[in-house]
Amino acid sequence: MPAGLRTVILLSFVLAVGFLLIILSCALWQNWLPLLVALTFVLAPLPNALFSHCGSDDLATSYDNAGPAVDLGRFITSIFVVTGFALPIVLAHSEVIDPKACAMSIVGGGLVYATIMAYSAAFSQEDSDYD
Amino acid sequence: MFSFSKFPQQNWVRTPVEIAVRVETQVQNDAEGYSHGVSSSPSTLHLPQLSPSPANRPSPSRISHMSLPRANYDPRRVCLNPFPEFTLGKHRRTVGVYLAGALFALANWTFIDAAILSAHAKAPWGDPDNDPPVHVSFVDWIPGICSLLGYLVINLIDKDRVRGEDGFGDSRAVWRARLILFIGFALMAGGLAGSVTVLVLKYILKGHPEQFAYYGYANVSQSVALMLSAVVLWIAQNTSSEYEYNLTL
Repeated sequence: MPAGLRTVILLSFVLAVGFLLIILSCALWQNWLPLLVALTFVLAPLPNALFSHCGSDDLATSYDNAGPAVDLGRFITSIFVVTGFALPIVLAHSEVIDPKACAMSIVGGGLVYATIMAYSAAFSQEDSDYD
Repeated sequence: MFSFSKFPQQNWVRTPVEIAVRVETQVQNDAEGYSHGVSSSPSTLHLPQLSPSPANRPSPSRISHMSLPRANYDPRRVCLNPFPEFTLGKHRRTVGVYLAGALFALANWTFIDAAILSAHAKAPWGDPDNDPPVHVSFVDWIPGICSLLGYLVINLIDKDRVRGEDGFGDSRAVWRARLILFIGFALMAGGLAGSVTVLVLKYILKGHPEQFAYYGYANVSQSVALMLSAVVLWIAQNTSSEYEYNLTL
């Protein structure tokens, strides 16, 4: 349990750093469009989480034989992730935001998304341990 | 189980040796969904004075009962070399779906990038006459819309219908599914052709500088990436099915 606690504290710290980078990339140039990146990366795991319980029953334990709903969730998640990376690049390309703001928001968004992924992975690991 | 015999031809009268080859095919499905054909082929030599037994003749009823021919005997195959097998392990469906989604988003963002860039390409300050010579207009959006419609149509089709096993389901349904699939692919190909047309007619032939020809290139890459995404998604959703089905190109 101390290891889990340490993991939670570390992940929350990384999450805070990610949000700090995104908000800084907005506030330093007084242009709040990169905040959309945070929104995108927060929303990115949502379709996967929603659809993962859709198509599978308890008997079908096979990982790969997921239904089309699971596929749709993965598809939309992938779209969200690519959108999160592409949006600042596009905005920087048309000089709406500064290139440095673009880099900061991408790094911050990546940190946020990695945090969410690592958090869910750690929790699923603990669930399977205790089952 | 199926068997076929090779009977002596007319010019083989000197050596009337009848060879009957029986090929037995067993299909095992392991956890990965592959279908392996374990074949054993005992070949029997019949002496010519023996009358050929009717069991060895390839009667149509026996052929229609054959279960899951091996890939070597796939009658739908056209090319000499079959489509290469994708061995990404058990994650290949997941990886394919993720890759298809990424390509899909990348395609659309490429074009949206061009559109935003065009919308923000303003005249330099203090020189209102020096407007950009060309903008992304609705003409540029048409190929992308066609490709998107084709993408939708292709992915709305039940893949089992297109496979079209005879005696399974309605043949009219197979025909209709193939027609709709054709319409989808025609829409995607039309989008690709339209994007190339827009690139050539609107940007290259007018002699616009490279900065503006980028709009046309973005359009073409959108269509190409959408096609790639459709192909990846199709393959990813077909590889894990029970029957080994490749795109018989």
